[in-house]
Amino acid sequence: MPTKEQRFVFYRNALAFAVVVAAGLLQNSLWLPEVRGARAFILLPVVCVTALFFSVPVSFAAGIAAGAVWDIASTTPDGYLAVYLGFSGLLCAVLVRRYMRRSLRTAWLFCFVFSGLFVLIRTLVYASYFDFQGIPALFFQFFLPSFVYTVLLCPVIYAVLNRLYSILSDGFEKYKLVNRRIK
Amino acid sequence: MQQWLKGRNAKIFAGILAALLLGMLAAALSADATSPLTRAVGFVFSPLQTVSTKIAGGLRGFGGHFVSSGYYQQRIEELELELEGYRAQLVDFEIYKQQLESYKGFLEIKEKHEDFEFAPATVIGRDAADAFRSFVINRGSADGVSVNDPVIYESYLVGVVKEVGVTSSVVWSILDPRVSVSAYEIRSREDGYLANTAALSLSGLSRLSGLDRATTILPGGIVCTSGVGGIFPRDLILGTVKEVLDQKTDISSYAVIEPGVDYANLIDVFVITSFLGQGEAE
Repeated sequence: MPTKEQRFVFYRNALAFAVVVAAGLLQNSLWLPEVRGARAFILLPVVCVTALFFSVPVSFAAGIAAGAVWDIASTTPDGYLAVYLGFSGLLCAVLVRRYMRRSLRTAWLFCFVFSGLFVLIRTLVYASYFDFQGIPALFFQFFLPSFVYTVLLCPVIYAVLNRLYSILSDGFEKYKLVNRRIK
Repeated sequence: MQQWLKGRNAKIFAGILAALLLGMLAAALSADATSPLTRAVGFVFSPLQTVSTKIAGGLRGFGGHFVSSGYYQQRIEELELELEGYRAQLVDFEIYKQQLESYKGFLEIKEKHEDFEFAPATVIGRDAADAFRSFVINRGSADGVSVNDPVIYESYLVGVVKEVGVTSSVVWSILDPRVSVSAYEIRSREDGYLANTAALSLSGLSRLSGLDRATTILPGGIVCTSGVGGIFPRDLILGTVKEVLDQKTDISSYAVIEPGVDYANLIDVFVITSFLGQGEAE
């Protein structure tokens, strides 16, 4: 029979998966409007921010889940995005647990690095289709504006997810405090 | 009684009665069917009648304030329910109207190409990181869709299926540089092939390459698939020629093509699951 603490951990981890899957479905629906051709890749900041609040295995699994949802609509080979986002989640979680603090600045830094890397890889992959002729147009007209748009959304995503993930944790901390007093 | 009849009052009464009867006779015989008495009384009292009617109308409305609010609440609920029903019907009507419009276009192409077999599909998602307007449709292998099936909207070719799941598929648009389509311009009958560049694709345009330097293709010309290669059937429209330019790297020319489809608002499409000549490279 699982204890209350185990059940709480299970629900909290399930919430992380629900959040990344919901973000993936919203992204595939192009829910956020295009700004002068730029699109927001919201799954990247969502995975980075989620990794700040969860353990390394859960962050890795949530990244894979996010990538799998993105792969449904993606034109890149299946599995590429699952691998990329899985390792993004893993690295963010490891760095936060060992070397960095959980804060908006850390989330922003992660978002900047992993979004930038994503955009660079994607540009190079596309460039191979054009024999490198199309790099400037593709990068400056689409990928760079999309990267900026994504990074600018990071504080909003951090604020929302910070509040969401804290609600469950605060509730459980209060429950533990009350139980300790009763005992 | 006899004394009354002989008195003055009886004579006055008889006179009034005679006048009324005469008035009735005159009304019956006159063109406007009114007696002089009615006309005189009406002339005097009609303004008062108007005022009285207006007051009565106002009092009727005033009386509504004393009706219980429960009655009005119930009436509001009934009307809201009725309105909701009408709104739902309106939504259904708009959906059917839109479907009918899209089916009209497909019926034309079906009549032109009886060998085509279609699977209707709806766009359910798009890749945010794809710059070339690829999209996901809600049909997959369970519906007979397979890789390299052409996707059309009315008589326009919009893309080709490149990834197939059980219930969904990913379609690359014709703007994608990885998609190559053999094509021809219908007036000059000149052959070419679609070979897109990033800059043109980002602007939502396409390129028909491999034309002669002395090409006679003009802006406004219509470009269609030529059917070479066995992937796309013949005579699906790709777009219209916007301009014709000389290639800088060799002695050929190319035409900039504007697709006839708005990819951002594309919702209903058809997948051609089978056609005569599919898979046969000419």
